[in-house]
Parts: sequence; C-alpha cells; structure tokens
Amino acid sequence: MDSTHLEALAQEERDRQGKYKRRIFCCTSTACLSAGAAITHNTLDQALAQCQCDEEEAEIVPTGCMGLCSQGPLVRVEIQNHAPLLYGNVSADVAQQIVTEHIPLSANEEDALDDDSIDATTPHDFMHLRASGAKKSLERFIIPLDSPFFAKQVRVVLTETGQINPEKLDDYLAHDGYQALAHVLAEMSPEDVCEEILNSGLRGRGGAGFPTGLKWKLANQELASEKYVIVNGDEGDPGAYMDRTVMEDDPHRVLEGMIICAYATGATSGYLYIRGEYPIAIRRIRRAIQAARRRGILGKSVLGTEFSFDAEIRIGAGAFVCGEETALIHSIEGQRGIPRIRPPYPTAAGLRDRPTVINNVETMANVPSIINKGAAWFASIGTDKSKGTKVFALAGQLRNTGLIEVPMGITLQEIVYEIGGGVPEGREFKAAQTGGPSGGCIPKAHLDTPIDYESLRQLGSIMGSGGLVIIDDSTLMPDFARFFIDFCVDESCGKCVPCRVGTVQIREQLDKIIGGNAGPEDLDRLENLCNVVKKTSLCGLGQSAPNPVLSTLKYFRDEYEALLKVKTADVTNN
Amino acid sequence: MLNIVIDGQPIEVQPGTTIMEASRANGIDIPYLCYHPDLSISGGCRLCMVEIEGRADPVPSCGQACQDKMVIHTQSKQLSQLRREIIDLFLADHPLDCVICEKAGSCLLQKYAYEYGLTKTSHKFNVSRSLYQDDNPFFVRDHKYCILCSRCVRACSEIVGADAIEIVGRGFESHVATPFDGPMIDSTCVFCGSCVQVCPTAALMPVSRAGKGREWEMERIETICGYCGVGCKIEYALKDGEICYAQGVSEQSVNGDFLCTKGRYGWDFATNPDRLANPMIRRDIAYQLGLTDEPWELPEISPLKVRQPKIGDSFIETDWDTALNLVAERMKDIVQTHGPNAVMGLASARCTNEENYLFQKFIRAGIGTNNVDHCARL
Amino acid sequence: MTNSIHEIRDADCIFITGSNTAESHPVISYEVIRAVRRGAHVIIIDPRRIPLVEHATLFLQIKPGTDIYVFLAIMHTIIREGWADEAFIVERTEGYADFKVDLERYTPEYASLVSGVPVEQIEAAARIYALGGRKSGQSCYDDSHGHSMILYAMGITQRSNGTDMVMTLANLAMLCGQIGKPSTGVNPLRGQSNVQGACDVGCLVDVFPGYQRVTNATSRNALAQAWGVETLPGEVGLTIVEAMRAVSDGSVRAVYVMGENPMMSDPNTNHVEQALRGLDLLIVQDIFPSETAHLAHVILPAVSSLEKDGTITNTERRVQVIQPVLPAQGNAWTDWQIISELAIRFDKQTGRERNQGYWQYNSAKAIFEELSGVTPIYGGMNYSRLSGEGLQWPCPDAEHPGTPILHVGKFSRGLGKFNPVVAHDPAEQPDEEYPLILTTGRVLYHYHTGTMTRRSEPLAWREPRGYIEINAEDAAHVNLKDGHAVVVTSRRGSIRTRAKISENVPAGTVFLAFHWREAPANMLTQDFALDPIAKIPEYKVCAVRLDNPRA
Repeated sequence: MDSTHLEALAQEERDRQGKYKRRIFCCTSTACLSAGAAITHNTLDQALAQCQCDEEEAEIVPTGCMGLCSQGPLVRVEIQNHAPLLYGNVSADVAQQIVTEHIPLSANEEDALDDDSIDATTPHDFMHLRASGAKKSLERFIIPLDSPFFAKQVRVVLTETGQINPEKLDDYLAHDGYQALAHVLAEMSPEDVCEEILNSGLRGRGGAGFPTGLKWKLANQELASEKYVIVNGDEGDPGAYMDRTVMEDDPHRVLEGMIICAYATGATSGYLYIRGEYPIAIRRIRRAIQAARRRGILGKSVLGTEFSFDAEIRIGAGAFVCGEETALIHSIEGQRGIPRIRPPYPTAAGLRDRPTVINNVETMANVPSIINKGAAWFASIGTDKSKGTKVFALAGQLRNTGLIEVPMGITLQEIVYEIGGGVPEGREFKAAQTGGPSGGCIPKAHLDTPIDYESLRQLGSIMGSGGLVIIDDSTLMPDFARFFIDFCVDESCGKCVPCRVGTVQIREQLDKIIGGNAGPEDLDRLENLCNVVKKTSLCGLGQSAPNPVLSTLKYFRDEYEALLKVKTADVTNN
Repeated sequence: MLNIVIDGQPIEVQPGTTIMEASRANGIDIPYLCYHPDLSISGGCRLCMVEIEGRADPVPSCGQACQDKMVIHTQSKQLSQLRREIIDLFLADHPLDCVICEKAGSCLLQKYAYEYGLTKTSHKFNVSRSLYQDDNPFFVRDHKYCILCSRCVRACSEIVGADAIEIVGRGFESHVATPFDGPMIDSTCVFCGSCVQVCPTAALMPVSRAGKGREWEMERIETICGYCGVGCKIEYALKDGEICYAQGVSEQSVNGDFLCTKGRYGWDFATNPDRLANPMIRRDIAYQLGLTDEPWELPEISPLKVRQPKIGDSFIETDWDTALNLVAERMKDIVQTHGPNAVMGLASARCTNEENYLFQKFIRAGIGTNNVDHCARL
Repeated sequence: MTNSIHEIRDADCIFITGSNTAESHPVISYEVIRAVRRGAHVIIIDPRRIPLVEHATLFLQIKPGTDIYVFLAIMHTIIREGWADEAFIVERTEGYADFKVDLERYTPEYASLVSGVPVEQIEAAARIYALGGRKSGQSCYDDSHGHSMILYAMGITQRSNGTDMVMTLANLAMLCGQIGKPSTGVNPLRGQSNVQGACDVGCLVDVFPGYQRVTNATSRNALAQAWGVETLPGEVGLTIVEAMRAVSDGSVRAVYVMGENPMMSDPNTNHVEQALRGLDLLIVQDIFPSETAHLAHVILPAVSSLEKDGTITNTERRVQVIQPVLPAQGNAWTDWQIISELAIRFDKQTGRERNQGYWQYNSAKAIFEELSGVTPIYGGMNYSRLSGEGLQWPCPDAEHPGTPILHVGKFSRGLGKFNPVVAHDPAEQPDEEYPLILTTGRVLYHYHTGTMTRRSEPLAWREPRGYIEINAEDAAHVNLKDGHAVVVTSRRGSIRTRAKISENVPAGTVFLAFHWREAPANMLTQDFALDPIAKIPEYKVCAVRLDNPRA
C-alpha cells in the first residue's frame, strides 16, 4: 500500500465519522477502566441500541485518556455544531442518562413510551429514566472544558488521545496518522530527518534529556549490517503512567515515530519493550502492529517504498532497572537485566552489539508532530533549552489529578494551583516531587521555577519521565524519603556496590533517624553517604536513588533534626 | 596512536585501549576488584574510578577507552576519599576475618582496606548471605565473603563456556548460584576451578588448602602440567613440602590464570601410597636368583580381571644394584643370542625430552636397534 | 600445531574435527570459547555430540569413519563455488590440477549419502571455512577474507587411513590459503604432555632426533660421530603394534617400557597380554604398579613429573622447563638416572669400552646441551633461553626467536604439494553379529590409562566408574536402561560396564573411554588394520555388540 491509498482510507474514515450527528467518546484507558469504564462503555452501547434510532444519529467511540483521571470514568459528547460536553464520574446510571439526554427517541420508542403495559420500575431501566426526566441531575456531572485544567494544557503527544479509537488504525489515519511517515519516505533523506529532529530541539523524555536528533545522527553515522530501534515502554516510577497512556490510547503514534526513527537511522527491525504490568498497552500495541503490517506500514517495503522495517513487542518482567537502556538491552537479549558501563553507548554497540537507538515512548510520540508541523513550530514551544511539551502524571494531594501535557517552562505554581486546582481544603501544600524515586522534592519556595531539564536539576531534582506527586503537610518528609529509598533497595540490580550496599545503608540511617536513635552527626553521615552513592553508582538508578533523601535534607532539614535525640553529652554538660 | 597523559606521564596507546590497560602497561597502579584482563568489563566495583580533565565526575578506568590528548589522574584527594567510601561499603557486607582467613595475604579487598586505611566499616555491619556450601571436593563456596564482583560468573561463561553459575536475585539479595541453587555436581560445572582462581576474596577456596597455613608462609614453584599436550604453566603453593593448592600463572602465554580440572586438582596422585618406592623383581625370578625361598608362578588370570591386584603379591622389593644388574645381564643375553633387534624400547610421552633422548640413545647406540617407539600413536 | 594456541582466540572460523577439545584439551577449548564470544564461527565434524557443539554454528554429525567423504565434498564445493584461494595455489603449491580432477566425483550429495550429513551443512561449512566467515563482530585481521583454523586430534589419526585424513586436512588448508598466517593452519592437538617432545628427540622407529631419517646415511653417520659410535642401525624399527606381533612370532624377546601402559593403551588387549607374557624380559619403569607392571620381570620405580626437572614440548612446539615441586618418593630415581645407570651396566656386561662417563650426566641440563647439539630444530635452545615462556621450534641458532607459525611464506619442502586422496572406509564395518560401531576416547576427569587420575581423590569422586555411552534407540534393542550393567563384545574380547543412555552418540554408535581398568576399551579394539604409513591402529572404529546380562 502506498501513501495515496493511505489518504483514501483516511478520507473514507473521515466521511464515515462525518455522517454521525453525535459521537459519544468513552474513555477506556486503564485509569478510567479501574473506575468502572468497562461498565460505562457497555451501558452506552446497550442504551444506544435500545434507542433503535437511525444509524447516523450517533456512535459510541471507545477512546483513550481525556486527562482528568480523578473524575473517571469520563465520557465526552460531541454533537455537530455544538460545543463538546465532558462528563465525569460516569457510572452506568449516568451513562444511561447521557444517552437519554442527547439522543432523540426513534419513532418506535415514542410508541413504546405510550405503551402502558411496560412497567418501568428498575432504576437501571432506560425507559424508566427516560420517563422520569432525569435531565437536571446530569448537569452536576459536567466538567467545564474551559477550566484551567484544560485551558493551561498544550497537546502535542496527546493530540489524538481521547479523540480516537486506539484499536482502529483508520481512526488514526483520519486524524492525519502516518502522514509524517509518508512525507518522510517520499521527501526526506534519513539525514534530513535527523537534522529536522535535531533542529526541533526534542530531548529524551525518559528523563535524562539527551538531544534525540543527535542520538539518531550518531546511529545514522554507524556502519553496520544491522541496526535496531527500541522503544522504551518500561515505565516504572510509582505513580507515573504517561507512557502507558500513550501506548494504550494512541499506539499508532508511537509506531509512526518508531518507523521514522528506523528510517532516519537505517534500522531494519525494532522492539517495543513494554512492562508486563501494562496488559492493555501490550494488547493495543500488538493490535496496532498487526494492523500496520496488514496495511503495509510495517514489514517489507514500507508504504510501497524500498524501506523495510518490522517491529516486535518484548515484555518486561518487572524490574525497575530494565528501564535503564543497557539493562533493557540485556533483557531483550534474554540475559539478566543489569546495566553495563557506557561507553560504548547503544548508538555504537547496543542490542546484539549492533548500533541501537533507544527512545522513550513519549519521545517517539513527539516525532510525527514535529515532521508534520516542522521543527520551527516545535521549537517555538517551551524554553530556550527545553523545547516542546511534557506529559505529567499529576498525583497526590490535589483537587484535580490526572494526565496533563504542558509546555516546557510552565511553572510548578501553575501546575499545582491552576491545573491541579490546589491542595484540598484544610491542608497545606508542602512539596512537589518530580522524577519518581530518582527525583527530588521541591518546596513551596521554589514553586515559581519553570519546568525544564536544567532548572529541575539545579533544584536537586530531575525532570524524570513525568511523575509529579504533590505532598501536603500531612506527610513527614523523612518518611517520604524512606519510602523511595526502600523502593530503590528493592529495585537495585545489585551489580555495583554503591547501589547494592549503599542504598541499604541509607535506609539503615533513615531508620535510625526515624526511630529517634540518631545524633546530629548521623545527618551528616547520611548526607555524605548519599553523595557517595550518587557520585559512584554505575547507572542512573543508583546515581539518582539518593535524590529523595538529599532534596528533603536540603529543603526540610528541620524535619530530620526534629527527630534527632538530644545527645546525652549535651545534657550532662548543662 | 593516541597520546594521553596519566599522572603526568605521557603515554602512547593504540586506539581502543582503556585507561586501565594503558595504566597497567605502564606500571601505574589503579585499584580494582571486578576488573580482570581476560574477562569482559563489569564496572561494578567502582574502585578504579579516575579523573579525566574536563569531566565533572570520575569515570571507571576499566571501561573508558583512551581518547587523544586525554589527561588522566589516577590519584587525588577526591579519588582517595571516594575509594575509601567504596571500600567502607564493601566492608559493611564482608566480615573482616583476616586473622583467621586463608585468603589473607592474597585477598584484594584486604589489600585495599590496608592501603586506604580502613580497619572496619563505619556503617551498620550487615552480611547479605552467609551460606556455606561444601558440596564437592574441589572447592568451597563461602558466600559471606562474596563481594559480587562477578569475576567467577564471567570466567565460567566467557572462558570456560560452562555457564554453570550466574548471579541470581537482585539488589542486596543478589548472589552467585547454580540453577535453582542446586549442588555443584548437578550443574554444568566442569570443576576447572577458574572461578576459584579469579575470586579476589575467600568466597571461593580450594578444599585442599583448608587449614594448611597462611599465604605468606607458602613456597611457590612454577612448572608445566604433566597431563595433556597443552603445556599449561602451573604454580604450586607448598607448605612444609606439601602441596596446598595449584593455580595458573597470570598472563602466561599458554593458559594464563586458567587450567582444567586435572591440572588444578589432579596432583594428589603424586603422594598416593601406591607409588612405587623401590625396584622390584617378580617372585619367580627372585626365587631363581635365590632372593626368596618361596617358589611362585605368574598366575594365569589377567591382572585386569583382578579387582585390586597387590603388587607385593607378585613382586619382592630389592635394591637398585640388584635390579639394574639383573636387567643388564638378561638384556645382554638376549642381544647376544637373538641380536639387538630382539629388543624393543617403549619411551614415554610423559617423560622429559632429556629422558626420551637418553632412552632412544641407549636403544640405538647402546643396544643397537631402531626398535624405539612411544605412544604417540595411542 | 602449525600455529600457536593463543591465536585461536583471534580466529574468525574454527574447524574442529576428531577432537573432543573440551574434554581432552580443556584449556584449548577455552581459547575456542573466547573466539566464540568474540563472534567467531565454530564448525564441528564429529560422530559424537561433544560439549563444544553447544557453542558451534554448525555441527556435522557424521557416521563414524565417513568424515573423509565430507572433507572431500567440502573441497569439491569450495572449488565449484570459486572460493579457493587461487593466488595462494599458484604461488605456493603444486599438484593442484590433478588434485582438482580427483575431487570431481566427491560431490556433497555423495558425501551426504555416505555420512548422513545434509548437503546444505556441507556447503555451509565449505563457505564459512574457505572465506573465514564470522557470526558477528569485527575480525582481528584486515584481510580480504577471515582466518580459519583447523583443530584435530586422534579422531583423525587413529584410523586405518589416518595419513590420508591428515593430508586431506592439509589439502583443505592449502586450497583456501588458510595456512602460514596467524590464526590459520592445520593444528593437531597432542594428547600427552610430551608426546611432541618424545617425537622431536627421536623416540620413533624411523627418525633420529630432529626428524633426521634413520635411512639417510649422511645424517646417520653424522649422529654416529656425534655420539662417538662407529655405526648406528640404519633400518627402520618396529612400531609398538608391530612389535607386539613380533613378540608373538618370537623375533622380539625383550621389551623395555618406560612410563607406558600397553596393557591398557594398546589395541586388542588379549593379544597384548599374550605377547607380554611370552617375553624373556619385560622391564617396566613407572611411577605406579600399572597393569603392565604386573606382568613385568623387573619394575624400576621412577619419579613423577612433579618431582623432576627437564624440558617438555607442548602441542604448539613450545619447549618449556619443568621444576621439581615435590621430593622423590621412596627410592625412586629420575628416568634419565635409571637409563644412565642401566646403560653403564649393559656396557659392562657386554664388555663394551667407551669414554669415561659416556653415559654419565650430572643434570638434565647437561643432557639438554647434548640433545640440542644433535637436534637441529632445538639447536638454538638452552635452559636460560627456555626459562619464562620457553621457545617454539624450529629454533636453529642462538639468535633465532623461535617459530610461532610454520610455513610462513614457504613450506618446509618448498611448494606445498596437493596429495590426491581416495576415500577409504574403516577396516571393520558393523554387520549382523556386531551391529554397532565403537569409538573410544577420553572423558574430562581422567587421563589416558587412568593410573594417575584414578588415584586423585577429587577426580575419582567426580567420575568414579566407567560407562559406555549408548543412544536410547540402541539401548532399547537390548532392553537396557540408564545405569544398567551391559556386556560389550567385539571379535577380540568382551567387557562388562554400565550403560549411560545418551543423546551424545547417534544410533548405531557407542562410546567408551579407555581409562577404566575394570572395563578396558582396548579389549575390544582391533589391531589388524594399521595406517600403512603411520602404523597407527584404528582405535576410533570397530564393530561391537551389546548384551544385557539380565536378559
């Protein structure tokens, strides 16, 4: 299949969608599913069927994340020539009410209403609801789409998320999917692509922020019989689910970015490494791969060109460290997932010792937009050194939590108080933690810091992959630090001594402090030990493991000091 | 060629040479525990970190390839401090039993603890695994001394190809194990002891060494293995004239650190009580010569059919003069009666060049026949 | 070996045949593993699934004795596909035209039919070997094609056509120009610590020290002069197996055995025992009361290799110095002291007058000085040069650095000769009465006739008893289970051992190591068909039958 055929399919799908007067989108992403979205979706389907209306009247579209996960299940209703409406907390009841509200009765149904023989008693009965006129109560489920939560966001990676059916390739095509790939294959040389990505200023969204275009360029310049592309979907930070969402809700965008990367670097095969705890992401990516193969987007001669590329899924077995690129490579090779020292970097010798580009899911998902809209457009978003947007999983003590995409350079203040709606009443904001167990805590005083790679690092935290946890005054920081160091103790691979033994000793020290058995010198020892582990560990896991301790020591030292026991020596001296 | 400077010393190296290799080749000592010249780079011990001018953080020298004009410092206040801290962490999970430890004197961790002045850990002492496995007569595995350097695992996989052991578990719980932690004999282990040789601590020790003495008391003699034709160089460590253990000789051309199970463990035959200690004459001949009063006849049954034949049943011990004179006399009789070609000499592929030379010279120039062969064909 | 051991790790392709390297030469197998880890291809041609197969790219499992067809077919393929190194052939060899014609009939299809190896495997092996292909990674060498090394051992030579087999491998190396360069060559792995040295210093029936022919009057006279004797015998002597026959017919009356155990190591043990029992004089000089010693008239106790000094020469021709590690046991002497004392007494008995101290040396070093004087390939060696890593012969003079690689630029005879070879089948083929092929060899934990290793505690713990490896299919025929007792019978004799059911041997083939005195493999092997030139018995192929004693 070539690109004209692709366009025809896209048009066909657009036409099909265009003929519906109403389209009701139901989020079926993991967050909403865990809130009961499966029942919601099912109810919507059944309710629509019971309407027995004309086919053009409405369709129910299972879709991806709409962002405000704390209000899930979410349902959005789009009616031609009307502003869309978003409903939150859509239980089965509410779902039925939504259909009642927005879909007109068919002639048959009108007849049915007149039929007295129907005894409408059960609360779930559609007819009953219809008759009882529950319209008014529905309003309280409406979430205003002009609220700061949505207004402050800029969507690049999440463009189609929540707009399309992730299991339908044609839906992606209808939203200009694979246009970037078609353009790249037709108009650009691999070097052009690397250049374009480099010019866009896109940096790795896995956390380290290495310039993506440069990585591609390095791999492009390697001479090798075989090269690989790996998409890193081993998202492991507690509370973070950006990559999961992108994979679940817009799998073709990830694939498209990956194929473009393969073209740019000369890779002929690739892997999507997805953590085993993401069954829905695995399923949807698998279906996306199958669909793309069927349509000639993957496999021999991509879109009818001479370029060939195929991708496979590899499922992670639950090791946090396998998110580290060299450990991830070992894992794909079937070896123990432990990192190795770099250099050589994977772009020179990666999977099976061949040049390999590893990019995070979100990084790959940025690529189609950059190609479609140009490097200059992308570079216009964000700050001087950090371009584009960043997806965060907003969690913790906030009114609004969920998945957000914001331009780089936005301040934490804006995220916490405008998008997040602030800390619930009666509580006080204490700190924001970015970067998961590898990140640090940012106190109130630094809330006006713009979010970019460099500023966060300066504060002793990191951008990380996008976990953003808000802590209120009910949490004690030493406890908080201990939680994360415990996580790192569990997840350390054990290869290098600072991480293997050092993290255990940090935990010992914290326990001593929390248990009230430590003196002031123990705080210095703790800090020193953290710095040693940070400085001497082999991979990113160990190098960043002390960050939660170090940053809380930096900003909340008083909380640690309050736990110290007064030295007996001091007492006797007095 | 690349030009680099290590500790002020200008050095020329081939592209691809690591800082560790360049330093070693030029007599510059960098401490290490997991590095081994014959094994792949692990980078886990973090002791070999060095400073490179222009780089913010120290880098491990074992994995870092030299680049032209690199200026490297292997010693500095910062590095000493970091190395101390790292050794301190190792010691938090390694009992300092040096007083009774048999590795004392050749233990690398002990060496660096000494060099960096650590007498004990400043952390909470916490041994990750204290299992003691003595499931075979070749070596013992004492996990409490293991520092997880993975040299054993790498040697087993990269040199021997046996892949009998791997690091299992993760983090602080990780340890070296056979599949499902079963006994060594049920694994693919070939008992070559390469793991024992590359172990920097007392985690892997030869059974034969137990209780034999301290490392510095041992006499060390290098010789060539007497088994197959590879000609491995072996160092024997002896105390009071008794072999305590055998090991390969590092960086020696044929075998380096590595030996097979026969070379490393198969030397105890030498002191087996079956060894022949005196010349012997068969009882029927001895009777003829009047050396014994008991008449005797060579039994019909093949010695191969006797479960454990005792040589004393068929032979009596004698002195060298008697035995050699007897041989010389009988040989003379045969040569004079049947000619020199009635004698056949079988030399030995297990004796030295000198002995074989002399043997064929005796057969050729002494007896006068070319009937001299050895088991090259067998 | 034409090349050196440490070159193996740098090879692009390693072609192993007739060598169970990992068990018989473990430390050389470590080199092979290193090469594999760097991306080299390993091709194994063997009837048994030997341990190294695990690491091999190609395993050509031949029916025992049919490897010659496979080698010829490999060469046929190489010529057919144009993979031969024409430049090397023109410049360095002769006899190629005739040789080429001879190969035409040995097609891969024919070889496949005879050996059971698929045609594709033969062709793949041909391509990888000829071009020195790699699995992955970069070659150490920047030649147009990679470097391939042939390793072989007794599986090739202990055959009734062993000389042909070796010549075939040499032809293969020349055909592809895989000789005379690092990490190439034809490399026999020698089985005993000084088997190379014993050959070098003339313990062979046809050559004096340094491979000077006994039939060559010039070298004979020169040696006689050097040794201070009037003449030296000029006719080729009897090899071991020939001597055993000569004992039976009464022409050999005395055998002087130094450090050998023919009762275990020679083929057709029953015949050997019969012969030894008939001798007028059997002298056994050894460190243990071996099975042969039990039949001796006189036993002379010698010291072991751990108790003496001297030099030994390894498989890569490296002469190395050994040191005494332990004191002599009891009243044992070094072998050279015994020979020396015996020679003096023999002279005295025969009334022969020689110079004072003719047989007397004050050290092994003194013998080496004489040895290097009459052995040209050792000519430049002395103890001080040999300390450290030793020297590889030829080393003709004091300035010569030794020769790690043979045939660089030129073969010893000038041009390398392609010797046309005709494929022969093993002398004894299985039939109805003896339907299986027995092949013999070693196991990892034991050495040769087991006199030393079976007295080593750890080794004996690991491998305490003998066993015969049998394929499940063959075992089923006689209703044998793993660990059952089994009686193995050939035309020469019969032994009883344990069955080890193993997929390492193909159906129709059984394997028995020759370390076990309670089940001596050579009771079964045949001694009637020797290689016509090397006189090596065909240990690797004989026909046997299995019987289940429970049945």
